[in-house]
Amino acid sequence: MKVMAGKYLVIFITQMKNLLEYKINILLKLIRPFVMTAAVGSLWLVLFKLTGRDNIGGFTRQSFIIYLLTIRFIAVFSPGGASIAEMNEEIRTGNLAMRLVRPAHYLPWLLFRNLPVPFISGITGLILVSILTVLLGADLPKAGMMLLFVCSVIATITLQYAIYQGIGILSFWIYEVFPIERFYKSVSGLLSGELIPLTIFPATASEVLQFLPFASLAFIPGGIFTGVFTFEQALVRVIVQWTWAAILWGLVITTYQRGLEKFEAQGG
Amino acid sequence: MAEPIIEMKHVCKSFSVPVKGQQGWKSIFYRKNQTVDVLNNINFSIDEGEFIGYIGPNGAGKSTTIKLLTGILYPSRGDIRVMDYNPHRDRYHYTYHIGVVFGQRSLLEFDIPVMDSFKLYQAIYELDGRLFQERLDEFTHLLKLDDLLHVPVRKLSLGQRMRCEIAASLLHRPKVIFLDEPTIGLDALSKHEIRQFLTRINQEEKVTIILTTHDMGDIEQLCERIVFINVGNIVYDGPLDTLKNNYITHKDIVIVYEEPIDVPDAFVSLLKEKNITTYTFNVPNAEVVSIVPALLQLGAAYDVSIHEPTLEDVVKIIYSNHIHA
Ligand SMILES: Nc1ncnc2c1ncn2[C@@H]1O[C@H](COP(=O)(O)OP(=O)(O)O)[C@@H](O)[C@H]1O
Ligand SMILES: [Mg+2]
Repeated sequence: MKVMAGKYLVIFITQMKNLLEYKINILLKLIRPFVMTAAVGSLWLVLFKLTGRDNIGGFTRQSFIIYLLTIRFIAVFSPGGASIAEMNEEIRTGNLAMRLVRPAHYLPWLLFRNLPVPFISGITGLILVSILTVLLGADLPKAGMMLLFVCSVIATITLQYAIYQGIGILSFWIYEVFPIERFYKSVSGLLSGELIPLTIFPATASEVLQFLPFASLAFIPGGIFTGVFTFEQALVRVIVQWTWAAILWGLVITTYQRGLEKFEAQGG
Repeated sequence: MAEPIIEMKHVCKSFSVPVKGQQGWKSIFYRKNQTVDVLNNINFSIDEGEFIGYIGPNGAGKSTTIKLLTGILYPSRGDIRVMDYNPHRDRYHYTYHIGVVFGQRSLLEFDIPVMDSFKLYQAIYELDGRLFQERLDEFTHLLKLDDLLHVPVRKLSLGQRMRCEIAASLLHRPKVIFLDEPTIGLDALSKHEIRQFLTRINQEEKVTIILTTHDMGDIEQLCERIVFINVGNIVYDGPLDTLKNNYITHKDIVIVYEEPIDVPDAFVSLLKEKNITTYTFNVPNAEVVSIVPALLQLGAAYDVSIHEPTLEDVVKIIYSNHIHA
């Protein structure tokens, strides 16, 4: 068991070395979340100014910026489109065969290969959190709520990996999965609360949206951190998140096994 | 006699491919498929320590066979057993005991030094540090890897990379090795080094090796037994020498005369080619000894040489016979 864990750890370390060969790429990855926050944040500040309101959808100017930063902090852990591209390439060209003939399972192999990016971006995450707490003087959630927040963030990351690997796995059946990725991104941009907190939508719509998997990606953790929910509400939502994560991972694993049966290892 | 280490019994493989010429929106959601049979009833068994040359023209089904044997694909019908494993079903545990090299694919990490890839595979195969180091030292010596270990893979030449690929696939001391065109695109020296290396691990470690190649030099130097596949069927399985003897029935006698000669009627049917004063006669093996003196009587000769068809020629004959059969 110890050795088993060891092999995936070495996969992680090896991929980290690979990444360090491309320093500009890393630098841009570190900077990107700040640019994103600045872009969305300034749009909203303009909106606050134009409407003259100091509360939109239950958010004040300050809590809104904190909401955005929290979401960015979580988003840096996403495996990103590159992970889909890599999987698509391996399946399409048949190079996946080179991994199948080694004693390491492909899905965890991929998972650990994808971890270094979020690991590095985690540094950005830390800076964002410092900004939150120190500069903006955010009221941190109380212990119980904080615990829920942590559970929620982990659920979000788990879910994100399921979605990205899931889209990658479609390559067993579909030649080009990138349009699907883009489609997913635009839908989730709208429905996850990444750009617009879901409380802005009409009450029933907002309620429904909060129980779709998209909300689990941004609105739920962001909302928990900024005190949108009561403790009970937050608890229910975290359970919903984990339910989605379990369902999606179940789907990913069964789809992968189906895919392997279909895999034809073209070429060579 | 001991059990064979590899056994394929009545193995068939077919793929399903979309029927050509389907267009329009409907084809996004529904595509008509047809099956193509790539392997038909393949049978062979291989004993421990054998070095098999698995040959056949492009598209014969060699790579498909290797993918079945390595557990990447599952057979549509029939049974495959390697050691005590069913490759597809037991793939994970099975892969600890086999080594696989595909000449056209890489298992090395492209951007980082070769050594980092070796370390990765050390971890994946759960190799003990000391054994790994011993093996690495041995390979470094045999495959001349000293100068390569700390170079990123992308900077290696093809021959250098292939030596590293082979080392990376064998660090875990597999009992059976599958090599699919490992010498493709390599220069004579690289080929030579790889052949030497393979001979050595086959002889000293009793490793069983299956090699596919289009290079008959590989086959002649390495394999005693060849399995010949064509359009999904095995057309020959036996010693290399027998194959040669079956097909090499004639030799070419090339004589350079001082001036053009008149070929007597008795020899006209033997004349294969004439180029100014150089005459090539194609003579049955058994008659070579008696015919050479007679041919030398036909005029003053500068030079005479006797050529046996190469394995390359033999294979060409078999390929064309079966393709047009
Ligand atoms: N995934 C696949 N789908 C359809 N046909 C395939 C597939 N893989 C191989 N084939 C066909 O099977 C035949 C044998 O291929 P292969 O085993 O790669 O030949 P070889 O290695 O002997 O050149 C070829 O005609 C090839 O086109
Ligand atoms: Mg091939």
